[in-house]
Amino acid sequence: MEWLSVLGETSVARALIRAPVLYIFASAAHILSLAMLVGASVILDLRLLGRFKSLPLAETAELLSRIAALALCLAVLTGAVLFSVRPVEYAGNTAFLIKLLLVGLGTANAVFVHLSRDWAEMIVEQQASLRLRIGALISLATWLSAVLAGRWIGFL
Amino acid sequence: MNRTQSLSALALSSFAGAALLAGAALAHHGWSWAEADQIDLTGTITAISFAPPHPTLELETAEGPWRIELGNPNQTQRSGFVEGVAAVGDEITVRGNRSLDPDEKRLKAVRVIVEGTNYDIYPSRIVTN
Repeated sequence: MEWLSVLGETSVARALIRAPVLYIFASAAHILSLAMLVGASVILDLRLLGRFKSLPLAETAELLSRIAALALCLAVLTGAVLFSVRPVEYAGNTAFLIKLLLVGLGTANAVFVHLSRDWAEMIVEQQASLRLRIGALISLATWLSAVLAGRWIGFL
Repeated sequence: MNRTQSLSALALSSFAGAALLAGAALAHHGWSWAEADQIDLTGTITAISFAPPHPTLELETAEGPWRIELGNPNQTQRSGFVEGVAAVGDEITVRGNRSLDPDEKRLKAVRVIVEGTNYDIYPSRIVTN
């Protein structure tokens, strides 16, 4: 745990503790990243599950998956900044640990789906296979649960 | 409903169920968890953090360790209780509202007193005898 308390002394963490207004910006940026990530993912997942059929599948999948990937990077970055101010406390927070697990599962699922042959075929054939639809369900469940677990952190 | 529709309905309803469970968790934000009456606690600081979102300190008192929750970072700064005013090992007095749960030694502070100086975090909430 000692390396964690060292993290709380880094210049980024110190700046956020000294000037709470910086924390507000970091927190708002984190929320914005989540909105982009969950917004893009949910629409894409529902499209794969057969909703919003007026949207062309391949184009929608390529655009929304790219937005989601960028948003995930921003969320991890801003999340690390927020984590740095109270590292030891967050590391002992069950909701935070569950959230990390869910984010890991969601990311692994997204990478797995994106690299699968089913994804490549979907881009060509404009048709989502059963495996892609199962992936979409896993995606919905993990990202929405991750939001819930994240909100739970402050209530333990 | 076709199969994909029932699948998405299932996903959404399981999320709604989880959201209902979340409502049962009682927040330590605000004042809903604390008693209306205020108490004074005197003790030695064993840990202190001004980190957002909620500055806190740990106090070792005659009746054991207490966790003291201060205001939000800006409210706490405005009271004058900033880094350097008190350190681990200092004896201070804190006035505030204790948790409704008598077994939980947690206090929402409205005033911190260090060496005779008052730092009023929630001036309008302070009850004077």
